[in-house]
Amino acid sequence: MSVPLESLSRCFAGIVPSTIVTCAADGTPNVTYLSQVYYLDPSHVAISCQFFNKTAKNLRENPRAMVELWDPATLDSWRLRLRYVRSETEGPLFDAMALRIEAIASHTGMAGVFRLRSADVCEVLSAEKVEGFLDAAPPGASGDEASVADGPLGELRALSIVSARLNRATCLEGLLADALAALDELFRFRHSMVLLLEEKCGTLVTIASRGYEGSGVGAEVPLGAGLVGTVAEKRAPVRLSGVEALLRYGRAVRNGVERDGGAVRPEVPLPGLPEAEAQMALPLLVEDRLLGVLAVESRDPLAFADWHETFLSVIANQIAIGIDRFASTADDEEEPAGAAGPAPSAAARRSFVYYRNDDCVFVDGEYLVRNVPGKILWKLLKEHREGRREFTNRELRLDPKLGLPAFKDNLESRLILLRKRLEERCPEVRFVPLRRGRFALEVGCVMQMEERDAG
Amino acid sequence: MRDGLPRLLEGLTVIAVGTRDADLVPSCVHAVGVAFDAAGRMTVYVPEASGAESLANVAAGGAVAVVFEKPMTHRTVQVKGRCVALRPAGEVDRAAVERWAERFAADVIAVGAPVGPSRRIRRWPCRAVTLEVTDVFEQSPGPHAGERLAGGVPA
Repeated sequence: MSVPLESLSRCFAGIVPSTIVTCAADGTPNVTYLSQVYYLDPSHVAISCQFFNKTAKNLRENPRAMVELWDPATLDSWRLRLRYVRSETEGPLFDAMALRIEAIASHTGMAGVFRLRSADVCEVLSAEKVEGFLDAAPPGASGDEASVADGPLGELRALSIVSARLNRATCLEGLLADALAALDELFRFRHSMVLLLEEKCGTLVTIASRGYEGSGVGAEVPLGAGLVGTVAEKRAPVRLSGVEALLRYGRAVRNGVERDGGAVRPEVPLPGLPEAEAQMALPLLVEDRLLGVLAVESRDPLAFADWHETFLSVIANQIAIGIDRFASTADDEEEPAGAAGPAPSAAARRSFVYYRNDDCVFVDGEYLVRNVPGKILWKLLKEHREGRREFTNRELRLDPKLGLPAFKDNLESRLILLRKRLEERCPEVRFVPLRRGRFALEVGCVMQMEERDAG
Repeated sequence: MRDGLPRLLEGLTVIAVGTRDADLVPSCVHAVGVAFDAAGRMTVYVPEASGAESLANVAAGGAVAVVFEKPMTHRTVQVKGRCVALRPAGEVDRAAVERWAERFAADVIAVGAPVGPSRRIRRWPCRAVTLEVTDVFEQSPGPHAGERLAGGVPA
């Protein structure tokens, strides 16, 4: 008996490779594995064509095919009888399938080597369970069968709560912390991070995270690298289930390319969660501007379903609007008092080195921060050494040496990054908020400062 | 010519069989083992419960494609041939099928498949499909997919 394709969503996650059988016009069958069968609508699927085109060639000669899918949670097997309809090499379907492949290719160091050639669309004539594929489970042996939970009830209510929290945020740091906390508490996204685009360097910098052992704040991902970098570059969301299986597939391709002496780049380390089995990343966009990426991870390969992507895209839009709102906030207009603070403790000594070529600051020989946050820190430390203690956002905005853009300068996100990096790497130097747009720099150590031309 | 085939297929535990009917409509079934005889002929074992359609195709026509994969690495080889003998599998085949079942379960559990179902693939009763191998292809994902192999060495 044919079942609705929608009921096979786990089989389409690409966790277990599917099998496809086609037949040439001369009657020779061909059987191969597919990394993923893509659900298109209740009566169509699409097959990715990457390297080997015997399947594609056969479908054009003889449009009939059979695909066998496995449910990764139960190992139940399903057969789809297909009729080939058309191949797409551009358009929304092709782009969505290509993006997923590009993310894997980029992650395994093969951007541009391993890519989608066509999305072959097939009509599904029937979808039937393979009866007798498994023996019945012995009585009481259900503990090893994976239980698969669907999304929580009341998603709309949860969405409304997140939305209200984001609207109430009064600063960027609060907005990001609230957003990630809400994702955890209401949607069970336990591991999440926000990365913001540093346009000048073409990198994404982690500005907030939740659920990781270390905060990872300041960690950078180049545009186009790995899942997060690909999502940013293409400005479209990607959801990966069974990440390890996908990476194994990518590595298999990589082995073939390396055998030919092909140039491949090193694998991109997964950001955040060790052994992440599901990842989803969404671009943070306002109008046509990319602000950053929201990324969530899980060790459960089936953690993220279609509805998660849909709901998270609504939240990502709200986060993006919030970030944009704080990108250029009105500052306190008062001039800084410039009062001297407490004398530094003689107990601790920290050595700061500023490299002029890339505005990079090291503390006691370890990387602290670079680019605009590096320039800001160096300016503040130098002025602190001269006796200044209080500073305003306005003076930073107006300082031409810092090179902040006149519009949407993201100063606040840079100060958050700087403050968090200091908390982790050099807690003796602290930013203390005084009131809106004004903060004090407290230094609880003896500073040794040096400038060098290049590292 | 096919002396290298058992070595080439060593460790490739996920086995799927492709056939077609008289109207060239394809059919698929997962096999539950492979064995080689002294003459170098390959036999794959197809369960009757899940493979009725494929076994009918084999009996009627004989053209068969079999793909072998190792899930951990995706190393994949496709063998094409013609069925030269089809018979119920019996005690002489039991060791090959049960050895496959152990290896299959270990391999798929290692890549995250659920433990219980991985050990419950129905194997019996099954049919032994013996092939005269005509072609062997590299099928691992990548630029070499589709290349013809001879005796385990690229042709």
